Amino acid sequence: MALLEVKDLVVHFPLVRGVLRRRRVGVVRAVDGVSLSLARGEALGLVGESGCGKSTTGRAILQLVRPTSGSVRFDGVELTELDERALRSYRPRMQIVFQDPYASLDPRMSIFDSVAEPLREHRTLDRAALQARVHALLSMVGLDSDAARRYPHQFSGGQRQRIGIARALALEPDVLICDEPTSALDVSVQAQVINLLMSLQRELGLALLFISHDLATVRHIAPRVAVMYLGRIVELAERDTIYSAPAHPYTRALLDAVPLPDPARQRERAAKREALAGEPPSALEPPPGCAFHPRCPIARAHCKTRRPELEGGVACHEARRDQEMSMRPETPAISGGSEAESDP
Amino acid sequence: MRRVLRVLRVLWSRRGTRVALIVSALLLVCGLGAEFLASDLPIAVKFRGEVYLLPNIARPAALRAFDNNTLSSHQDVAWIVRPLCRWGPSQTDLAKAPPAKPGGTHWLGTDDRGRDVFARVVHGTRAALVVGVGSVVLATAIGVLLGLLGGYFGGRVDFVVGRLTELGLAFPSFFLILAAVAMLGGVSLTAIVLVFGLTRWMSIARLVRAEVLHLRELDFILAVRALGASTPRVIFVHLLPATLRPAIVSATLGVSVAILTEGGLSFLGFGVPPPMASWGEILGQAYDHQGAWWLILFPGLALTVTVLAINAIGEGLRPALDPRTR
Repeated sequence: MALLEVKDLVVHFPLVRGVLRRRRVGVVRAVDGVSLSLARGEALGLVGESGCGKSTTGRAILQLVRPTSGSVRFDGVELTELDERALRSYRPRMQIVFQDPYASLDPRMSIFDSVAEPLREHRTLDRAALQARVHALLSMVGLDSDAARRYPHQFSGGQRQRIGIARALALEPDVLICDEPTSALDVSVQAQVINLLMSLQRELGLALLFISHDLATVRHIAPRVAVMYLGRIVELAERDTIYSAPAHPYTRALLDAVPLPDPARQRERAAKREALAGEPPSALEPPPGCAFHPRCPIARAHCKTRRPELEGGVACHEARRDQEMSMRPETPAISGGSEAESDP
Repeated sequence: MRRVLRVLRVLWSRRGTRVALIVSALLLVCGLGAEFLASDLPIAVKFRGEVYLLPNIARPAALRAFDNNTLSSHQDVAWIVRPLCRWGPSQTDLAKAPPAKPGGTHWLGTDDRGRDVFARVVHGTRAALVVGVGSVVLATAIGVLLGLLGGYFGGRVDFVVGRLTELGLAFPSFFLILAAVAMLGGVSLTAIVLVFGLTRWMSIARLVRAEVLHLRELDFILAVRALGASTPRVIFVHLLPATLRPAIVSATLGVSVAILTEGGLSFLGFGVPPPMASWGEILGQAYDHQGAWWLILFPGLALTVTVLAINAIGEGLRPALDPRTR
């Protein structure tokens, strides 16, 4: 059985207006029916444009944002039904690493206090043991133990992200949700953090939900990938399938947008590419039917009225038929992957 | 304690705030040690073979009939240590018709009851500081607590805090005091501190609430929640210190507003209860005695310098409390 089982997860944010009589004027459908599962020690990538609800999905799984409906089962326990107090005993087992390393550490706390905080809350360690554990955690993420005495503003983005990871791993979680942990970092530092996460995942047997808008990074880290568009998963498949034979037109457009390192091939592809038209629609009033239909190159009449469910790894009425007819898009060489490998 | 010292060092390093710091230290000395600067009784005296220590504070019954002037010339006094100014704040000297010009032993003159203006200005510092600091400590405590709760929990809690704040803002504290005086038939220092404190927490509550609304969505608060920290811990260990900076700056500026308001009340005769000294009360006398410039200049100077110094410190605290300068 999967360690983490998410079913029909929905997070709606009501928009209220008015001073005396508060009226609901609309609903932002940030997450609109997401199902996924994560086995012990598995890494799953979750990709999509900004605003598609991938971060909210991560937070809703952790119950940091309470889901509007749907189910989140962790190790057989329904988390959505637990109150804050009951949740506290499950929190140590599911942790999160945030996107912005500049905002995720309390600027008023020394690194030691930040990393020690979860241990103080959930474990009873004496002073010496606490110190030893914090230093072990810091060295695990490649930081000197004298970093403990310093404050967040004295560190670079990459170092702070390592501190965030050390803090998240302090309680030896089973699941680690990485919410775009590298997108605020320089490219060279990105690779280091990715490699750190991968080796930690292997060593500690972590189940990893890796949220990112960067297909290259996700390809490097996750053998299984889910693609999100406007609050829904449109394609969920093995890494090889997604990258070499994407079924959903949106996935194909995303892959098409990854630049090729060879300028000649890039030009060649650009010439025949059908770029995605327009902006992603607002999650405030998502289009009826398939949310992707206004931008979809293969949309038909029924796409405007009937919403496709995720079947066989794709949520699209036309995908299978279309795939047989059209050429497969050229597979982009993934730049991030090779960089990450060449970096120490 | 180390943090307090660090903040003081930052304040000391700038010329403007250094002057303000020195003035504030002098004010504190005046407020705490008013009896040593001006009192009708000596600091120590050997009188009729007995040593009296600190009669200026202890006020022993044996010396009740005496003051610095009568003791100094008394034949039974072996030795005497007098305060800086030999006059007490409530002691009258009608040798010259009051109000008397500055000169002689009355360095800053006397008021309309023949009381020494220097002594009253010095002792007035105490009333100003007690009202200023006391009411602001109370207001800040209420404001920070309500702001934290409203901002963090939102929803119904926030609604209640918001309406309470609006209700509070609808009451003008100045007139509330006047009403309290009318109802109670007189006002004690405690009552003034309470009424000021209870009518000045709103702006701090709003400030803290807004700050918390911003902070609680920041990743570091989410991270702490994800780590399973208890709600009180999130609020008091992480949110409180982060909101304290704007609250302290605003509170410091509130001290000077409270001192000015107390001055205004005393000017109208509704301030600290007589015969307690207050700067506003001296200023009020000048209203009835035109030409008595010393009744305007000295308490006015004290009030102005105090307010300027406190405001300068409030402004200086803004950068000094920034955690990034650590």
